[in-house]
Amino acid sequence: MPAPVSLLTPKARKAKFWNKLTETMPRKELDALHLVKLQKLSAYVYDYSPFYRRRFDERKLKPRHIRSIADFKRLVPLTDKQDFIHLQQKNPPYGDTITLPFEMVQHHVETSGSTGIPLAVPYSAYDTERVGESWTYGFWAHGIRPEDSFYFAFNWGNFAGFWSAYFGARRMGCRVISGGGADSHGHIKNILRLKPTVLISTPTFALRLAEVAKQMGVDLRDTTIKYTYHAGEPGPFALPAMKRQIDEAWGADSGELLGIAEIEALAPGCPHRDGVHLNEMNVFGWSMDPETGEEVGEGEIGENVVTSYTYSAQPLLNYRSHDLVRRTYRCTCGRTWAKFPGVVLGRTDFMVTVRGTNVYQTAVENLLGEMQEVSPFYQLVLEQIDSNDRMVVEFEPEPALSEAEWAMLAKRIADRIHAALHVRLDVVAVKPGGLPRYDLKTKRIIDKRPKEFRRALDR
Amino acid sequence: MTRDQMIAKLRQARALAHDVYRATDLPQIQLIVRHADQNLHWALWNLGQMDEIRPDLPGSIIKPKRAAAKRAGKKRK
Repeated sequence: MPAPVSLLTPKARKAKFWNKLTETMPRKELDALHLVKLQKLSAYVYDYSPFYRRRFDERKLKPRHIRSIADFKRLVPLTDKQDFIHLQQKNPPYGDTITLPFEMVQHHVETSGSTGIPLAVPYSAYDTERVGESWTYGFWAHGIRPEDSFYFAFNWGNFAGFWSAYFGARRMGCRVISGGGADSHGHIKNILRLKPTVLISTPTFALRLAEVAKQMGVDLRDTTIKYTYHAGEPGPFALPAMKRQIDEAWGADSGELLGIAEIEALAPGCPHRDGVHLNEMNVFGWSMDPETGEEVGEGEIGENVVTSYTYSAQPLLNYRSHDLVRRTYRCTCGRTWAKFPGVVLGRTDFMVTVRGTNVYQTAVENLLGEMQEVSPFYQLVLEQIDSNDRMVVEFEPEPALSEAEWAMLAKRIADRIHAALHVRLDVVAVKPGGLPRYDLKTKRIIDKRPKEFRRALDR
Repeated sequence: MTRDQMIAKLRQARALAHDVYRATDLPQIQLIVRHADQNLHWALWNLGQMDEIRPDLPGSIIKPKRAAAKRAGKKRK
């Protein structure tokens, strides 16, 4: 008998890193590479994108003026989702932000469109090879190997986040099983029948599936699932309660990746399971004070401003993610790539002013996530009373708590929010199972304020 | 094999792929070779080599001889 065919050599299979060279590259070398990439990318968009040429020319900026990373941050204009949505609406489907001839666009995806207007995202064939790579870095760090098989608990629609995860699983050479067309019961049955070892879903949908499995009399801990991996909303590396509940329900190790649908899956999970590392092979990022536009230092909270090198059909340079992160360059896992402990700590555009205090949605979410008695099902209801914003926190207590304990728990949550955020919010317990469940992104904000007083919510 | 040796081999492979692309009018072979070149470009990228943002841009292909000459030139300086 000949030796069995194999995707990897035994030595490669035992490697700790997906690519040790890139993941542990010394900062000096990494920054030198960033500069070359930023210069090449700036020249590329200037030559091929009417949108960027206009933006550069407005500032009398030529690619040759970018001689340092600091120049790039300072000189290249910031971009925002609204810029692209506006141009796409004016000239659908992609406006003049596209850099490649139409025949080079091989795949169309979109953002989730929770604002009502999804951003169209064109990928070239090469982009589809590259934008999933961050997932693969994360999968490998999490212990997933080519012999594993993936169950995608998604309908195979146009949502960009799902497709990049699929590209990542393909890159590793794993078996991929589509959950398209199945409802929650169908997903559980598929998992029992097809025996995948990795679940890909939003974190809250993993918990939803756990609820359904319980109703079906299925103990998910007895299934073949060894790993779960999540994105799209605050997950196990952002919210300790989420991690505990998913791990317990599935008897598996949960992982998380930070992605931005219109850019790519940009930050795979750290093996310490407490944050994510920016994939600095694909992406350049820096942190900015969203009020002043000034750069903030390591360890300080700032808005993550990102540039993708690998999304070449509709490049995004100095793109405002509106994600608030704490950037650090120190991690004992050995990676030199920037780390965001706790993943995304808040959103610049999900801030409401309640009784004169700025309140970020994710700050409230993080506090709720730390409380063991609070389930991951909660929502924040925004109202306007006499021109003042009011936020009501509606949450489901853990089912083990008796109804008599709910009011006391609600008071403890309100006190905790008050102590941490210096604002008193109304907190209301809702019967377990009483709040809506979502297949894709969970809608956390229910905005009942008049339209003209709302920010553009996209989550 | 050292990193530099891997890089040299990959550059050589890209040059060969380009030669085949230019030499054939068979659309199937052109597109298969193009796909191969994308992956070779990606391998070089993930070894820390940065020629161009995309493999099909002018200046992306650095033939081994040119690269060697460039390196030698740098050393002489």
